[in-house]
Amino acid sequence: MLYLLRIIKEGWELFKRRKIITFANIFVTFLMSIFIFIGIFSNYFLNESIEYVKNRLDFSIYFKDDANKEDILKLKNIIENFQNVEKVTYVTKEEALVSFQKKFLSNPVLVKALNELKINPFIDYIIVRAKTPEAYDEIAKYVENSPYRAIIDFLTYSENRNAILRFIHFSNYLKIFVNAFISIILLFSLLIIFNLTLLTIYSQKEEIEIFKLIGASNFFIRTPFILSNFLASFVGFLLAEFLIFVILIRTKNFWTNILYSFNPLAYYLDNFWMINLGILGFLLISILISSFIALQKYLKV
Amino acid sequence: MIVFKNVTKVYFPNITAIEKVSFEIKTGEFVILVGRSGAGKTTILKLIRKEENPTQGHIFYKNWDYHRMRGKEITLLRRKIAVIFQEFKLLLDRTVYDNLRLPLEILGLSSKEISKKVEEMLRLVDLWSHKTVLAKYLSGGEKQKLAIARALSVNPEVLLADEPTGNLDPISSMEIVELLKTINNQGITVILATHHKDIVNYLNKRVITLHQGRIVRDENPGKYALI
Repeated sequence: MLYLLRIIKEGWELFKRRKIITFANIFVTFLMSIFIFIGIFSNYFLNESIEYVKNRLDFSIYFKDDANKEDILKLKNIIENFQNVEKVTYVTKEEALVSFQKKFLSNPVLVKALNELKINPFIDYIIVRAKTPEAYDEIAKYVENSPYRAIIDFLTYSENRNAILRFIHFSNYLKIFVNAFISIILLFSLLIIFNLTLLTIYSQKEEIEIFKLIGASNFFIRTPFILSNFLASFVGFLLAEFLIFVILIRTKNFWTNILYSFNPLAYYLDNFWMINLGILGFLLISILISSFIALQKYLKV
Repeated sequence: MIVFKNVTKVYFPNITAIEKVSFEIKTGEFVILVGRSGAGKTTILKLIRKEENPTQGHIFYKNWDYHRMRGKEITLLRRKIAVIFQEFKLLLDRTVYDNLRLPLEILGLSSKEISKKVEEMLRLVDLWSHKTVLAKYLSGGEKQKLAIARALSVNPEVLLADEPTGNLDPISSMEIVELLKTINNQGITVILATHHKDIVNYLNKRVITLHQGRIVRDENPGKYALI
């Protein structure tokens, strides 16, 4: 225990004394963490955008006025059992009317026009939301050829179906690009951390030699270096995290104005441990591996 | 205690540092290695501490065969065989006290034992009053004294001194030599590599003379006589 405490103390000493190296470590880790955060948030924004656009894409089946409700529910059940169907919502014409009235409560002209009609002008319909855009074609084909075709007035995709499908197709490539971007960031981070560790250890080679001279074991020599490097990286990471947190709070409204579903702050807080432990884990493992490799040369007995 | 049997060391690509060197050093002896630069003195010291491995031949320390030693045994061996150098090899940006504290911490001594030992060693080399001074501010002689104190602090059985007076003025050199004699009188085996004629002749101890990697003279007591 005493031995371990002394190793930790030695790590702290190294952190304090190697001011320039510590500063360089903090600065590089700060930049690396910022880049990793940028990668994570790029991924988030992309996924949110795709999700937003996907949600615009739905498929509605409008029924004839005399359609039997039982038949409609049967068809709803059949569609629900399709693969990749996320949700099927049945909206009766009464519900459609209430929803319309609520939505346009503040528009007296529309409300008056509706009241003057004396009848409910809406019809029953179901909204199908699939997990993948490709599923809509399959459902549409089935419905068109099903025995329920007789009770169906018309089917509709969103008006922008083709544009949305093109966007989703494009977004798949974009996803690959973002993932490649994140991988490159991680690879570069790893290389920069490795080179920095090499330089750090090279600059300390005389000290390592002296430690060997006075009988220190490899564990006693290696661990303080790793600890001091990790401490510097931790400080750099904390600074980056603080900056990102401030930016997220300050730009909360900005993102919502771009797209109402954009809320990177909520995403960050919801995934706080996963994101932070992930980055810290990456830094720790990078430092451990690079320190082991870099020190090996000087620790040969 | 230390036995060399036909030891040869060839450095890459093909530089023979020592060739078929054999000798035995007994416990408590004071042995001086003399020879011109490149004669093989430092190589012998490095081989004794197992910082280098022989190309041929066998080295023994007590019952340990160097060929069979691995990791922890090597660390243990190096704790028993301390070394001081011409260039001191101190942690210059740490205090005199810290330079002595560190090896004792590595040994696992308690804080109380460390304080006691550090004071004892610093008083031995007359540096107690400098305990809070950074090592880089010491004079050459003081740095070497500190290096000796550090080497002795771990209670070694052997002290190797590689040109310890090489960077010192004559007065400081004599102080170091006296210190080495005192250490040897306490029962520690001292192996001194030097080419200072005055020191060799003053000490009047066993002298092993090297020339181009071979032992050309081994006398006890011996005098300085290079080929």
